[in-house]
Amino acid sequence: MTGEGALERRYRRLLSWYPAGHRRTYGEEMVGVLLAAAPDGSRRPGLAGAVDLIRGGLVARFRSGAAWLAGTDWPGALAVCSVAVPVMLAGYFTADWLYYLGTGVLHGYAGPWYGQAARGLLVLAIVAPPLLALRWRRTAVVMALALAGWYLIIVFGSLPGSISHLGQWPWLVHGEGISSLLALLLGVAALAWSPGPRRGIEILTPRSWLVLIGPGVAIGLTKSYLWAQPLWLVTVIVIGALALVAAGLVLTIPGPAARGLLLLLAAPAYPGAVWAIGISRYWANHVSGFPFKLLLPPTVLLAFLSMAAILRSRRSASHGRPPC
Amino acid sequence: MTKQAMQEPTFLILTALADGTQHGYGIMTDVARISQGRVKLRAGTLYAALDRLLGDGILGVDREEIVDGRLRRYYRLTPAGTELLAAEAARLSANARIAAMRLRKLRTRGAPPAGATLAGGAA
Repeated sequence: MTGEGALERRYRRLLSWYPAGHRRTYGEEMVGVLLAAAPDGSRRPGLAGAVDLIRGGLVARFRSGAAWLAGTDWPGALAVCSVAVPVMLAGYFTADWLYYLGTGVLHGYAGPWYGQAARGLLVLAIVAPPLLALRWRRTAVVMALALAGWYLIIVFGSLPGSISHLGQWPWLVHGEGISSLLALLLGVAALAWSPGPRRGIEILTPRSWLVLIGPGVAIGLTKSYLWAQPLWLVTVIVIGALALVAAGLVLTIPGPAARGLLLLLAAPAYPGAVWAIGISRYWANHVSGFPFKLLLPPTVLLAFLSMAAILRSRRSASHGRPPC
Repeated sequence: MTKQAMQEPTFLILTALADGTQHGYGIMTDVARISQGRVKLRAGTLYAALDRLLGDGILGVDREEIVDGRLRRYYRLTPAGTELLAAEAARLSANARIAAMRLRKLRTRGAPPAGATLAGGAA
């Protein structure tokens, strides 16, 4: 290979740091400029030139990512959340309730009546706010907030007990609790600051309802079965299910709203996914599960991103700008 | 709200194009000439700036050519770019004028002795 051929190949490899769109527009031109500017006979890019290309590629990627986010319909995404979050949660808690009721009846003991009543009331309390919001938005927000507050007490109230029960793995319990709590809080924010459930229903398509209801019901019904499976299988199932839901939402909801919806749902989805994977390991062989830091820092980061998105949505709504 | 000052590489790229349309490598060599070798633009920095300036409507693509089998794209200043460069040149020129005037006064009064402190005594 000639010196210039080797140099060109190395420059092209460095250009892979740039996003595909940038390479399509400027790639060939940049190769020409890089070769023209290279000292005669050089076979390798200089260190400073290579660093400059990598830095330029990262900047271009950041800019294209920012442009991608700038086109997001945040108010629309939040409006969808005001419906989607209660639907997903209600699907999960209903399936969970029916599963335990069914297995309890089969084994001749369904537990005390008030336990069953509490599970049923929880489902009602989840679906009531978006329905109420169609007419009485403020009442719906107060109700959703009360439910989130009650759930917060339940999650953190169970912390001492779960620490003593699970030893060094309290996060196993709280992954599920934190996931549901974040979802409830997202639902409150969506009811309070989005254009409302009516707008969310307009954006959703018949197929997206299936995407929303399916995962919650599937998890609720198969949760106990999942725990008994090997870690690798649970990991594949959980990641596959998340990818399917994300793909389903992107394919059935208009792009600008779907992008925002995925980012908003990431915060509640992440701790639940870590919990689902980790609990299988705990119950399977009692070996050390995932470290606590795998659950908490990413969850906090995603929650901050969601808050930023909600603030952005509020600003867009208050400026009366139409969705991009 | 104050406008952010233009970065020097951007100013030099616009200055290079104020002389007429140029391709990427031409801009790089012209920028080095204008700055008397002080600023040496590299391809990554140049194309990041070109992409941004094209997106902002400051530059436009004049024409494309194939030379020795390679794409060569010529860039030009748009009317918005010309206006921006003129405003930046005026701003820099006004700052430079004030700096020169104050330096003249300082030299007329006599520069403070080296090592002098605000209190006038030794530290």
